[in-house]
Amino acid sequence: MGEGWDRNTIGGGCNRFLRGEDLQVRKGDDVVMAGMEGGLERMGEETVRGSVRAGAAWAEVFSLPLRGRAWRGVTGGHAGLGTGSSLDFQDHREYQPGDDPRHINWQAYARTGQYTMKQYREEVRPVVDIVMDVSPSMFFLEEKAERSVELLGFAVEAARRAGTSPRVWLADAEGVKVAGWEELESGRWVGGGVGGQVAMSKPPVVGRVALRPQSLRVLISDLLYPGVEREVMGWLGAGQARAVVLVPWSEAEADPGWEGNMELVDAEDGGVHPRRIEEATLVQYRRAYAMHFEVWKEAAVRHGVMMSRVAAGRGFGEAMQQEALRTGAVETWD
Amino acid sequence: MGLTLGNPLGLLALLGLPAVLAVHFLQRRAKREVVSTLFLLTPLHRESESGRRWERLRTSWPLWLQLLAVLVLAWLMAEPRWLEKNSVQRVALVLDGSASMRVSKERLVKYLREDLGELGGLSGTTEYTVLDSRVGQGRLYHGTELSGVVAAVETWVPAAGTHDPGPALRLARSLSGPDGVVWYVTDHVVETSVAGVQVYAVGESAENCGIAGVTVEETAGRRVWRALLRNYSDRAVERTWRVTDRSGAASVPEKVTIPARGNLAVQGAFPEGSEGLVIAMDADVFPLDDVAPVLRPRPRRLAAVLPEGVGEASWRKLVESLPDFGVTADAGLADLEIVEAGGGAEVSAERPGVVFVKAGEAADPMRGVVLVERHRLTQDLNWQAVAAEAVPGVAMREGDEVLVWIGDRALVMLRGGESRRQLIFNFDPARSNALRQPAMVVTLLRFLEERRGRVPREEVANVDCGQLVDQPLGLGSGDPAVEMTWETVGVGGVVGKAEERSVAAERAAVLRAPEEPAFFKVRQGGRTVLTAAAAFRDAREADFSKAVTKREVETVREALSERHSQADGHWRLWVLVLLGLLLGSWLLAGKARRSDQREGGVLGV
Repeated sequence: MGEGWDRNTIGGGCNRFLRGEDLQVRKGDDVVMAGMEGGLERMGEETVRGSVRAGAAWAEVFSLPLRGRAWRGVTGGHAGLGTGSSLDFQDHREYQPGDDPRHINWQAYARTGQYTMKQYREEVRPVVDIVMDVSPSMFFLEEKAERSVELLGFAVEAARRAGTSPRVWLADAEGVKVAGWEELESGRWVGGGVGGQVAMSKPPVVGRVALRPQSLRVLISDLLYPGVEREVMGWLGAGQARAVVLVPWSEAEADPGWEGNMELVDAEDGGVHPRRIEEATLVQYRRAYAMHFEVWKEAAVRHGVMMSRVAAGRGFGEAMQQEALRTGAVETWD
Repeated sequence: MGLTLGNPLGLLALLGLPAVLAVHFLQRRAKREVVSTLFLLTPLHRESESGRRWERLRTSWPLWLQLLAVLVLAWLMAEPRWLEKNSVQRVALVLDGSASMRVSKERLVKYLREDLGELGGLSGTTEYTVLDSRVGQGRLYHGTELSGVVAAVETWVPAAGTHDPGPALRLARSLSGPDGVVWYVTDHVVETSVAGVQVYAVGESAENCGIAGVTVEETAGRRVWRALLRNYSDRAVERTWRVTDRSGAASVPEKVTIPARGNLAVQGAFPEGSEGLVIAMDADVFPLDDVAPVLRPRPRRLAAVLPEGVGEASWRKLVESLPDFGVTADAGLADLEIVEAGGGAEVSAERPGVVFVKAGEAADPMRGVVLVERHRLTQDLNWQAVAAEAVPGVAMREGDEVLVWIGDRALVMLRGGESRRQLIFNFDPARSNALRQPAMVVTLLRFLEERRGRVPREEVANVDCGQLVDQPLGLGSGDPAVEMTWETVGVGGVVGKAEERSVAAERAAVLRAPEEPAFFKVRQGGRTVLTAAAAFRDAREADFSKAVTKREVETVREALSERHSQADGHWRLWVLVLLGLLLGSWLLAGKARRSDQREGGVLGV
């Protein structure tokens, strides 16, 4: 358990779920979704904090995929790309003036009469960049909102437990910003958007995030944006980095119970769209939904990004084991 | 027991069924739901681009309960009644035999099928009686089959002029009994004098033009016919008329415009040698008055023998001033004689005639109360103004029939039997003002016409359709049968084939002219008594401006339903069921509403 987290409250869960009817979507200063007074702010700090801690608690079970790869960073506990002072022997080389004489291989000097240096692997603290999509679609369903916040809590805590110094970015269509620990815990970021208001129906401008080279990049997003999969995945995988995409999703999105006349309100921009939903429409919708994520997965594979969908509405451990563990998006400590 | 409805309009409550369904359709307002995947839906299904106003119906308990409630309500409002199986109702129809009903006959058949069909279902058995309003037409139908009624009406031929339907209505009233239904079936609204008779009018206002009457006169030595064309409608009409001689020669059709509700007289001379012709207009809704057969009339001319003496000239003047009356010197050819009786003289009654008193000297005026006996010769005549001197008159005999008294003196009287009937004016006309008084002249004319009708000679006349043939026929059981032959004149003046019928002498007293325009002859024992042309000339029947339809079946239906059926005894139960259904629907609807509110949370419904 990392610093700043109250162990006694981890796993306390949400004591008040976000309800769809509480959703408030704004365009500028106008509330465009009627009857949703209070908005996401009403999720409350305690609620957000509970979900963050519930996700963080799972960092005791699951970890980020930091093993099996050399990282760059300040001295730490993970194998670095350079030589260091760890116990992990890496190679021999000739002595160069200025080398630490403690690493001269004296047995080799006795045999050969030449100074030979033992090289050990450097141990570093990997750099972790966590990007949290704070678009309205992440939070308008209570189970999905809860899962999204849990994933953020888990990612932050897992990075911290790995001895890294994670940097958390909040991103929406309006912009990006770095969030501090206090802000994350407060929950004020949920539903408020980066700019303090909910963005329009556009993908988050993750490209503005200043990712550090050779970092582990964790993107938490529902990826419900069409046509930007190549850009997003290319951006994540650039700079010899390792990237993980955790995709919270809800069954209510995958297989909605729409029937008859509907007024579908876009969670992103609040636009109202009257639709007549027949069974055939639903069948086609389910197919389009599956195809949408197939496209994203294909782009992820192409750019070496580990993408995993995490179902909402079920236990966190079960949801992670279902896909994230299998695809290597997360690991266990064992 | 069969089922009938006391208030069929109550079934309108069934309109509540679609209303309930519509409410359930419409109350399913579109569900509002927040979605994050709208971009996936956009390219799908063009059909889903916009919502439909009518939602697919979703069944629910409130819906079914409300539909049941509407059914129960309709049942209650329709006032179901159960027929008594053994009930019998009597329906008597008196069909107006007026010729105008020909125009409405087809409509009548249609309406009777509808209305009697409905009434027939209100009792176990319905007995129908169909009568004609004309006297002597007998019963057209009696039975329990509606088809029989319809068949009787279809074969029925109304042809009479305006007449009193009272006798037929009273007969129908007595046949149908106090609880029976009696309809006077006509084509306009009339007041009937018989209680319990309902007017069932099936008429329809129509425009009609026709020949209202034809007269034949002698003008400048030529026989001239005059016809009056009448327009019964409220607008001027243009019609064509022409004349066809009995030999077949026809005049050129002439177009005339008859003003609204006005008349137009047309006339022409009989062609040389022609004894009869047909005036015809082009046909309209009522073709009966569009043709008028006309004959050159030849009434029976009476001949009288005058008394000899100084008064002969004045009597000749009187006789020759009377129509179709002349003087003959041959007593063997005379039909009657004019007799001057001396004061107190006996007058023999060997031959028919008219007897006047011839006084030698003046006398005091007659005094006393004038009393006129009820008799067809003196009916409606005023004898009060007749002043005469009390000269010695004709002594009364046993069997004399006094027509007018003045004091205790018989002023006018009849003597003798039918063949030797004498009209006796028991005063001296020369010593009175009687010949200047209408009463005496009219009485004399009536007597002469009566005698004319008993002269056994052929008469040529123009008569009305259906007119009683009052001719000197032998009516005894031993007399030969009376034969009538006729040729009907149809549309356009086309004369049909000759038809004939024979009537027993005993029944010839009620022999009538054909009911349609026709030329006809009446013979008895090989002797032609009458040659005539019958034309329809009843202007009242030809006027359809006041014809209406009035079928007030509802009151009859209600009365019969009350009489022959029992109300549904379970109506209280149905009311309770209705209340239960409404209460259940209300409770379930409220429950569903609350459930919807709970479940709609996540999806923002």
